[in-house]
Amino acid sequence: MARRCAIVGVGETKCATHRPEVDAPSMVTEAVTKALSDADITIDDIDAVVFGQGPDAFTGVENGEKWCSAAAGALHKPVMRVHTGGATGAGAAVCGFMHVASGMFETVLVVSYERIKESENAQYILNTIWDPIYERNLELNTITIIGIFATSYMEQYGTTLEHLSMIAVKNRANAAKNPYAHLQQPLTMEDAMKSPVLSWPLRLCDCCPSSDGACAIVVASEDKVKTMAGPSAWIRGVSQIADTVFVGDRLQRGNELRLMESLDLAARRAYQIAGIGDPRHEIDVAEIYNPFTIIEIMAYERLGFCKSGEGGKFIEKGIPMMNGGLPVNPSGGTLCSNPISATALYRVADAANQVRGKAGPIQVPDVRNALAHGIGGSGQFNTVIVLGKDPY
Amino acid sequence: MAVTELLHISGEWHIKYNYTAGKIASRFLAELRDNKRIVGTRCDKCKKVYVPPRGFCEECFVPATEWVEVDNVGEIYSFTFGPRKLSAGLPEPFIIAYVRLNGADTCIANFVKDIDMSDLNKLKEELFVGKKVQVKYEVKRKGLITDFYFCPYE
Repeated sequence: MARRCAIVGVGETKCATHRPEVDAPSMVTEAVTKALSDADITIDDIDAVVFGQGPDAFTGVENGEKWCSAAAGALHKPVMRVHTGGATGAGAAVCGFMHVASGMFETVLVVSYERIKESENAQYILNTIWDPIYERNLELNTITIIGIFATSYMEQYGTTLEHLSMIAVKNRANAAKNPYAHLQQPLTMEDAMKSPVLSWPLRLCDCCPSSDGACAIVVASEDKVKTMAGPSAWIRGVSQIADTVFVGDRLQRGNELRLMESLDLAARRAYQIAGIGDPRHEIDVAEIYNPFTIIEIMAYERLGFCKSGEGGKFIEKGIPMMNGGLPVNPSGGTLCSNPISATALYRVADAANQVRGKAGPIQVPDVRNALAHGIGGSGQFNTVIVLGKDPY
Repeated sequence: MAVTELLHISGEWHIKYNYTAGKIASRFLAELRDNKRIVGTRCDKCKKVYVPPRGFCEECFVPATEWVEVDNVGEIYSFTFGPRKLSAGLPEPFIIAYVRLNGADTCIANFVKDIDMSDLNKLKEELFVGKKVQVKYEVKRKGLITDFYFCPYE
């Protein structure tokens, strides 16, 4: 492994349906300014900028990084864009890490922004990620495809709508305490069970909102960290894995692992690098990218927090609750805030803040190791990042 | 001078495309349209039959050159349904399923029709993982994936 790096600063804007008072560049500057201030550095300390930007069609400005890179302080600096669908923010963080770990740069800024409501119909845009030859005409979108994931998974393991509802209730309760979350009203079990079906088995309560938001983190080398006074979250392990675009290849009766195999591979690799042998007990908090409740249940298993098929039992036992032993999504996760390009970077930022002790009202006590996850393209791309109080 | 009004500017992307199907998909679509049959390709190395067909096996990273006709009967591996439209093009209500047709090693997606959706409680008896379905071809076919759909096996 190359040289050690840490996240030394984080900046998030409050996720909202719409932020009419800021144009996109201003919203980016808002997040970047916060991250620099949090790291107690200036823009002159930044050697390069990695821009995590997903489908441009949401904001309707092609090459969003072209419009906003100078607003991120990248004037006359190296800039690189990363795009892995929903996993974009985490992929950008991995790219930022590699810039520093390689020894080529000391301090790198990673930034992402999104404004879903700039366009009128997010699912119409998401439909365009399907190939026009075999699948676009079937009107597949993220809700229908994850409905298909859920049906297969629930059939194999007997997971119920009550399990999905528990996930929704947990995340909404956590988001109510997160000043940066979009949906901040708690949800009762009763209301979850009455939630209307959008694409079976997914109901409205199982699905994420559409959000405006921008996020930035600062990644610094070990040498740079030694000169800094503030708390750091050491990047102990990273991995991002791609699977086939063909969901039809990944649906195999009796082999549920195949559907989200890229997450299994990414988790194993990240844990191997980080030296994590028992994730269930060595990870103290996890920020999982859960645009739909079912993804969180499947992720418990693929991340090794419980055995395959026991994701429902895991939430039943209360383990992923704030006081349950392995809190998952103290932020409320993607289910409560989804500025798509930026969302996975929010997961990284939130996980980093848990390690750094800077999570404020959603702080989990005594965090030594945290996990951040991003997923994109209907589970085709999965990224796992392990952060720790100590370097590996 | 204070400006309190926050303005928005309208815009739209009108973009037409002429997507290239390529020789592999063109054969698949032409077989639907002209011969009412479903064809896949077999990997030269692992012998997996891919439906819909591709020119390359992604697992072996070698060409998939042999054409194979698969059955019009298969099994639902997963599905979803909605009581109302989710987007402009979806029928209302809709059922989408991934089906493994006999002879294929992968599943292909399409709409499922001819199932009564008026009673959601009864729907569970009609629509389930493992359900046997068959391919039905549209009367007017255009060389598109929607030239066929799935319906309950008779």
